[in-house]
Amino acid sequence: MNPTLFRLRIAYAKQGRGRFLAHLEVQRALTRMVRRSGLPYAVSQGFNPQMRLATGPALSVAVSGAREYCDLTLTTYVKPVDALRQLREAESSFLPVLDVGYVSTKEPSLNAAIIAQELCVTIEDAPVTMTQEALKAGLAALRARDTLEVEHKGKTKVFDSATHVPKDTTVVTKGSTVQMTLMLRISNQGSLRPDVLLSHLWQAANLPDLTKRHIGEGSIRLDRTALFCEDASKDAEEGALRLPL
Amino acid sequence: MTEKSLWPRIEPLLAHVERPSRYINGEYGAVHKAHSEDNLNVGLCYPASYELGQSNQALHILYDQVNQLEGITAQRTFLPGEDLSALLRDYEIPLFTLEEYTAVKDLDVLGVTLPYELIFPAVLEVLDLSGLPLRSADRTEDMPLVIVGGPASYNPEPIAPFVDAVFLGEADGGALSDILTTLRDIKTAAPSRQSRLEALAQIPGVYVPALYDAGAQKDPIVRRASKDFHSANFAPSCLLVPYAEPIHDRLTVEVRRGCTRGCRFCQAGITYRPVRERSADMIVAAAVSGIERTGFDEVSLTSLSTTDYSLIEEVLQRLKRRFAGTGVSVSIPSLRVDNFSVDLARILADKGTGSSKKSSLTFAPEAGSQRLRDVINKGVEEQQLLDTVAYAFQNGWHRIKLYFMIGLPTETDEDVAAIGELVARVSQIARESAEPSKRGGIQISVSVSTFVPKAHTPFQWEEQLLPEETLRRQKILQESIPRKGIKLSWHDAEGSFVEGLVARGGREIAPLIEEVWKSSQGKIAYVDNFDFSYWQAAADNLDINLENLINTKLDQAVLLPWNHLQTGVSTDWLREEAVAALTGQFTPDCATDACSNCDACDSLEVDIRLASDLIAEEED
Repeated sequence: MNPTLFRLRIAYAKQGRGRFLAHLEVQRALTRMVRRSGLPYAVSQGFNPQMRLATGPALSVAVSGAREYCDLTLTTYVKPVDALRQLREAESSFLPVLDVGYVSTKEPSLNAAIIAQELCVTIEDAPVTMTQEALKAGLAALRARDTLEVEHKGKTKVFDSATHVPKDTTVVTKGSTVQMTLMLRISNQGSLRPDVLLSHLWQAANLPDLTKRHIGEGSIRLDRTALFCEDASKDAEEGALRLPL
Repeated sequence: MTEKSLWPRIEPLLAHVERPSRYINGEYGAVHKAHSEDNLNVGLCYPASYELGQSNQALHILYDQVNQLEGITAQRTFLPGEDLSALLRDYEIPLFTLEEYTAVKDLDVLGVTLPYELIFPAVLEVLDLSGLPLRSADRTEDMPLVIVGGPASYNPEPIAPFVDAVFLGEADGGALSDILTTLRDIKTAAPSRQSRLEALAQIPGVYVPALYDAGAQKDPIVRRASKDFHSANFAPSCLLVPYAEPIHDRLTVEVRRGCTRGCRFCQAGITYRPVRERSADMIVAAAVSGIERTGFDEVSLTSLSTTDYSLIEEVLQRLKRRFAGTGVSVSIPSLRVDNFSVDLARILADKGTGSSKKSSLTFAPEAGSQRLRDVINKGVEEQQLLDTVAYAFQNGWHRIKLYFMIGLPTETDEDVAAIGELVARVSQIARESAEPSKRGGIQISVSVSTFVPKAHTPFQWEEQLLPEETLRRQKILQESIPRKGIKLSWHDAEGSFVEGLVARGGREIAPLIEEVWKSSQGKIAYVDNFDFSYWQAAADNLDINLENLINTKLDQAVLLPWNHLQTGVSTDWLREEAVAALTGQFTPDCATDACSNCDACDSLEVDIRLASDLIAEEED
């Protein structure tokens, strides 16, 4: 490892109409922001030198992110307050920069470190039977099964229910809109996709299949509200979480 | 966004379509001037997907220039994907602009780029999705004026009934401002459609088919060319950074306009005369500041023939130094057949510019035999090609692409077979020149298109092959090309046939264009992937035989459909060139050699400007 390199962690949001961006489009937009910012970014070695910028876990198209992260390798130390200012001057409207800070170059990558995500699901024109009790009972029923089987591109993947189905959810109802907050595991060995979990949940909670809703029937929106790493500090409890920055 | 914004109706559709990021605008560098009734609201449309349209340099230039005009807004619009188009129709939402999500039908002007003939049916799709009647005559007072321009507008007759005005030439040298400020200044007086068209017809370079037909516009319409292309106030054309990945995802800096090498089949070689170059300082400054301001990792130096730019080596060396260690690469779109071009490619491929990968080199000998290369004024000797190939393979390249054409005037079966023989010699030289360890990786791609005679070229009267004959010659070609290590591809015979049908057609083609659009039923395959079945279906519906409709060979004595439109190049000169072709007589490049008296400079009042001469002028 090159001791003269610095790893700047950037917290940003994927917001507004920007939630329709695909992960590759976000990555491309971030590298362009960095180049515009004038920060002294490092480039990779080899035939096709590229900016050294690594993003965290991908967000699907149409899912927003309140606080996402990427790690940028710099060749010179820049004061965080200056780096933040430079990035903000170069940011694009759908991907505003929230905060920056240095992390050790020895720490594992964002994709390896991040193990949990908090998701907020907003269902407009929700069926009246979609109550906190029904949703909690649905989650309990899913957890009671040993495994969840998921078909993806012709292959069946098996997920351990106890690990992948959240224990609890907070539900807020405002008029006909239901907002449900869930904490989900995330790992680069394979995570249960939120939309797949939800379609199992509707079934387990005896709700109509909301994933097959048509245009005009009220939208379902997914927003990722937070990402978490494992808290490995000495005095942390087993399984405790911390923010990546 | 204004209250007239269609966004609330569009948003719910986007979760149901592919690549919705094409429709969200808000790109870095997009300009949002409010759509207001006080402004002249101008739509800039490229009638294909966002990915194709946002790659178009003309759109970048126009977007920038319209926004610089006071009281005028530029709003982009593209053809949505088939999925969104279907949903827009289902939910009765009209086609919208990206910047403000206003309905295209609420604009004052809809400017449409015509990049090539086969895109004409897509223009009708844009009009229909917008809720506008297809024919100019059916559009009412409050509807935008549809003005077309671009490379395929030099024979606009097949599309004339659908458009309100045609602009001929380069809009960026003042013409755009003439057109739009004229319309802006009369907007408050709420003039009728007719009087707006009459005002347009007064502007040099603007053709209004309805007025011309009525005898109200009489003089021939002459193309306009930018007089200040080389001048100092040039900035990088557009600093908009797309989210969705365009086909060409990079900064473009136009270094040179026009090419006078004089290939007799080439329309662009006529319609962008004379050659004008920007100074090396200007180009380097535009590339460096453009990269700083956009964050792109590639800059492409564009022109019809960038290796002909008089100070190209200097510019590349300077950019290479400026971008060293930044991962930013520099590219040029095409190469001449000479060692100098290979040297330039070597500068680009060198470590430090970013793209150290030796990708493939592209050369266009166009014809297989020397006789036929002389007919088309290609000016490339076989030995020159072989030397260049040897030099390229000695210098570490192992992939090349060669472009040829079949169906050129006077072509014989021997000329077609000569392509295969030439490719065999190229292949042999490549093998002998490459390092022994690299020989296995040698790739030679041969791409063969079919000649389509284009309006305003010396070959505008020449014969166009019918599909059956094209197929026969393609078979000769296939048999003549060595199989080992050669990848051969060719243009679809029917595609070239239809292109020729439209390229030299008159008004009689308009109903066919309309019928093609109808038979495609919202499938836009006539844009991204040509599909002959729509054209055949259209011909069947109209009960016509396409082969009877095409102008296969035009008589020099007969009035051409585009006779009233002039490029500045005299028809007498085109005739002389057509005669010179038959005897294989060479016409030199007037940018660096003697004037060939085509008359473009005089009639357009624009001079040849080379960057190397600009320096000499400064030194004097």
